[in-house]
Amino acid sequence: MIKRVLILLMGITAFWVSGAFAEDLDVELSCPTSVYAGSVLRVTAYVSNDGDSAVTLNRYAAGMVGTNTNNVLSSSRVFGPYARTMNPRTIPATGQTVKISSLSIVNSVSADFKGKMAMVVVDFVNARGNSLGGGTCLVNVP
Amino acid sequence: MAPSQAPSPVPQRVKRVLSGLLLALFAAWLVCSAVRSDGEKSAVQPRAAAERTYDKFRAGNVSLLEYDQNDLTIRLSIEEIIHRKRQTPFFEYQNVKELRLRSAVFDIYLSDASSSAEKYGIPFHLLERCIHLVPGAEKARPIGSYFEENTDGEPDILSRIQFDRLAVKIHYSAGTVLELAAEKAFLGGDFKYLVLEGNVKILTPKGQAVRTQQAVISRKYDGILFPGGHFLQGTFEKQKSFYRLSADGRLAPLPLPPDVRYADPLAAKEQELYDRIFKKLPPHQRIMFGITGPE
Repeated sequence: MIKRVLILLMGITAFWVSGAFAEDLDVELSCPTSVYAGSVLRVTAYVSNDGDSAVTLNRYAAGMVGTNTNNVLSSSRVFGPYARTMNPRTIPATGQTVKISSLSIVNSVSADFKGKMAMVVVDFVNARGNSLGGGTCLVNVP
Repeated sequence: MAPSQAPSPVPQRVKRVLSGLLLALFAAWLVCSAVRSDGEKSAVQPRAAAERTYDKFRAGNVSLLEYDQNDLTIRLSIEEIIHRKRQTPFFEYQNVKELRLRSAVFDIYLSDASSSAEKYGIPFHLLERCIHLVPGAEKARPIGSYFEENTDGEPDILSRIQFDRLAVKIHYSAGTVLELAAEKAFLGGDFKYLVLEGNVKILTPKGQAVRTQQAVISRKYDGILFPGGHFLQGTFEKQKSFYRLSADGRLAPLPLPPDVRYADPLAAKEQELYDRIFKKLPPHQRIMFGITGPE
């Protein structure tokens, strides 16, 4: 049930940055199985490029979303969007998948998520703040 | 020794009646206090409900004046300012914030020099200065601008400014006034537009009265858009129209309304999401997830 609610929330990725210039990036996020409240949360992204030209990634928008109580979709808590920078990585146009490790999401996971599943959102953006592509994954906050 | 007399039955009965009365009085007192405390509670509850939640601050009866040398340029009066987290039917954004201003009156006084340069135009720079004078509003920025910077912080984003009852009066040096009033209004973080909604009234310096449900004051196109029709001097204009204030203080229509973009990006995206969810979910699941209908 919680997973279903969170999957419904995936539309929120579109809230943060304009997708008007979205390129052909396919992003799959991999969250750790669990993360404790108060800890830093980092995730890994597997990015492939189906476009005609290579894309260099150096910044992204990150955030976490979780339901508040009783799995009801109202009052879901959103932490973010936070603007993040990273070491530049070039994604070749060959369709080859590039692994990007240790993408920082939040410096401290909120205690609001304690005992719940939270959805992590990453959206890579260009210098003008437009979306290049993004993904989501779920993490348990014990 | 006289035999001890048995207590007469009458005082016993009186005693019982008195005890009964005492008990009844006590019970009545209990009931009364319960009722009174309920009454007090119900009097307190509306007050508690009226205490709107806030994030960083809430301020009441704010009045500000700004002078340019000795000339009064801006007079602000705001009944209440609330800085709060942005909250929508589904989401509570922890770091995306908004300012809510209740019963705001902005008076802008144009000096001879500025009014001769701008004639009867809308002084957007002074309108923006009004907003910047409001405590907490100086950091308003569009959300997208944060992603154009190389930053790794987790800042609060003041994404919009909302008004419950707004009145703006622009006093021109000739003694004439442009008046704008609405039940609701909102301003994007980039100050490119001011959207007026609900019982919108506009009175031009030459006395033309406009009434409508929505008007957009566009800085980019230097004019006023009426997206869904309007009454001008009592005559209804059904189609979307755009006007500029001409040099003589009247509304001059543009033959082709420009493409004024004024939707709040976050609200627009959420609306898309609601519509999508509402279409996809069967009725029983809508109830399960607390979705009662499209917004």
